[in-house]
Amino acid sequence: MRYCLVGLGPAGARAAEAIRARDPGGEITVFCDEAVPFYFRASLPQYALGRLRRDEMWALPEPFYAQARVERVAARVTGVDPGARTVRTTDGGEHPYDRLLLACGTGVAAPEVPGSDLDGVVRFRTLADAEAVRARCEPGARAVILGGGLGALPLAWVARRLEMKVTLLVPEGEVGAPWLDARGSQIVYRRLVEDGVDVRLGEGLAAIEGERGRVAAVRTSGGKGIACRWVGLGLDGTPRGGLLEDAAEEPDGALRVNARMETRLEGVYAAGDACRVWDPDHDAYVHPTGWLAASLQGRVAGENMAGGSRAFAPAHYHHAGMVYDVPLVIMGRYDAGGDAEVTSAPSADGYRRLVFQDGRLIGATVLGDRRHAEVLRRAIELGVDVRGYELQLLRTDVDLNRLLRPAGEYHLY
Amino acid sequence: MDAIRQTLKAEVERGLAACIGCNECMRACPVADPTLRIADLNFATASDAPPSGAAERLAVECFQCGLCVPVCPVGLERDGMVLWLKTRMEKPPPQYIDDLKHKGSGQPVRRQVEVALHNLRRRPRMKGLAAHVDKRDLKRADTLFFFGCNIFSETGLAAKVLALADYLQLDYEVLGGLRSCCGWCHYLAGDLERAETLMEHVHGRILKVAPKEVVTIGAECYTALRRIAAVRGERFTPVTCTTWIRSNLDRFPIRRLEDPFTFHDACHVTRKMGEGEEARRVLRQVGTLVEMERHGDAGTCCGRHQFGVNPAQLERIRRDRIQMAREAGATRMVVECVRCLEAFAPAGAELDVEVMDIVDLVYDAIRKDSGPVPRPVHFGSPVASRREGPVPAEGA
Repeated sequence: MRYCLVGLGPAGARAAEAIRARDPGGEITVFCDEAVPFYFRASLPQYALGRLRRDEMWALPEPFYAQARVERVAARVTGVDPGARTVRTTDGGEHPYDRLLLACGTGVAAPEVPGSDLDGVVRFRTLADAEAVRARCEPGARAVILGGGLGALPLAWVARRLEMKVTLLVPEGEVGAPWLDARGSQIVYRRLVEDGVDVRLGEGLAAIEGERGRVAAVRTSGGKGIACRWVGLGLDGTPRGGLLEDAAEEPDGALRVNARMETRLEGVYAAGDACRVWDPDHDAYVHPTGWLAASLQGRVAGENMAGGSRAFAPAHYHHAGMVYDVPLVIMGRYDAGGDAEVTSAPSADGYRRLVFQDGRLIGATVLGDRRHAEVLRRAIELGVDVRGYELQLLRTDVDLNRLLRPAGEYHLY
Repeated sequence: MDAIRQTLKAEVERGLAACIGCNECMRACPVADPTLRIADLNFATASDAPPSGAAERLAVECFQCGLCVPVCPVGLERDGMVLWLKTRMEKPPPQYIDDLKHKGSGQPVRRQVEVALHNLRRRPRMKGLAAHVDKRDLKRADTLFFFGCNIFSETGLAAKVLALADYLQLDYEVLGGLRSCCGWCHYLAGDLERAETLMEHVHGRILKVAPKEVVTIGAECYTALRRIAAVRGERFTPVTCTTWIRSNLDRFPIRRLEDPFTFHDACHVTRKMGEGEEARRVLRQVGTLVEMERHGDAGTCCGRHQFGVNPAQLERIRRDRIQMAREAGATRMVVECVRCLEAFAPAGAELDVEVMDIVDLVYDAIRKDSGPVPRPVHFGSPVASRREGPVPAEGA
């Protein structure tokens, strides 16, 4: 069996592991733009700060690829022919496959503004980007970063830690999208301001001005000029799903998959940010974004490609991370509407918002104090009846483990 | 047993998928080899093969202090992942001392004889406490003091707790001795089967007392009982001795102590249960609390769970902690776990910082001029007598 994986992020790498665990004899080839092993992309901020060496970024031991016979090819895949079951690469090569996984993530196009090709316009998505950001940061100089979401905030955090002055242009008007609601967004906004970030809500980028080919200033959509050393493009990417002409796509270009991570084309799977998964609860294709979701989807896709039968459960979605430097955990149907009931309460440095339906917890957002988040997650996964506990769930000083007992479960600590 | 292993395995697999490799856990770890990369550790954790090299060393030396947990940006419980490594070691930690193997019920005849001899050897020094060791008949009582193997502690702490209970004229029962082990030490050594057997046994003993609250003096016992109560859905509430004191503090004639003292957080109570504030509430009423540079969730560990694998490292960890107490301007360092007390006492004596349990401190703070004072009638340990000085006289 010839397995072809496009992309070596968490989805692609975990799929390769899962395939090899089930199929010791199959040929596994992974195509990736970057000529480096699978790395901890989510730790780029720590790498940019010099807290991690390059070899510490590799997410699998270096001998893994040889031992597991996973062939890495540093080439961009430009097209797929599902009829002939081949993929085309930029070097003109055609590579046959029996099973194909598209795990090529997202890409950020340069904004269509004058000056976007100047030296000093940076992104923050690859190891090379992180190295470039570090090299360009100078204490006291100003960086202008476009975006208020998950691409921009880590870059702003790095720049502040490296003692840059930072202006954040947030055209969408709220920080922390798409994960935070207005209340959560306000908390993160306050934290940004407290840390010295100049946040311009509702203001976009109109032009980047240069001197001798290098960035010197920006002009905002509101007509204001800001002198700066570099401009960071922190806009969230769009899915790179456009390799398959006949596959069903979402309006943003993402590939549609079922819970087994199968596209409608036989033998073709997709995982990670490049796809949208069918969620029977939402009656729609959803985008469970983040490192963990991509890893789990990759594992499910890999097992199924090698003959297994596993399903990804969007209802058990879980993401934990930092929004700027505020801890955030979101889980389940945290954004559910309809007949779901919502209760929320402030905590020490954030808030928590719980979503209930039919006496069960179906989703939660925990911003700031993360205590008990794991118990909440287990309660969602196990479908525990939480009637009578709704208010206790908002607290951090009670033993929530009792909730899990009727399901015969408990959390370790 | 399979259930706990399966639960742990599933959580570990999830944790491995969620790890973003920032290395913060390894940076916070007091024993990790700096050359151990997180990718290698994760790979060893996921592998079916027993750990080897630096990963195995970490599995042996990790004392489950949990310092790796609060620093994780994605909220992983790396300690649980290392516990999984421990369960898969080819052989248990070399200093998984024989004493531990004698704990619990259902021992072979040879071990039962050894336990009986152990109890006999301890009996002369235990005086009143000896009556509680591995006793068969338990009465029903609202309050159960669970001392487990800590009843043999040289610190005399169990006796003092009972003195306070006597002062309050509580109707209580006591569970202690090698056969009443909570099992947590075994759990932390990766011997899940044995741990579960012991927890099951202890659960049965507790049910005979049918208590409303179970009071512990060790953070490990507290953790184990919390889990037993959660898993079994029992109605009894495990509490630390600190919480028990806090809820009864207004019943003791307390005077404020003059000398400032500092507080060492027990990993299992503060970091894992989030109850560090309980002790501080008591301490602020008793005197002046000064915090060490590292306290609360960021506090260091006494290393008691390391089974003495690396004595030089433990010595350094403990001396550093006592030094931190001195730098905070304290002459006393208060702890709330008998294990921390035993671990820090030698370094404290050497560096002139008195290490004492919160029970000791409260006992010291009880006014001796306002009527009857609690008297540790069970008190008998020569070590503890030396440490405590003369027992206060009963009456005004």
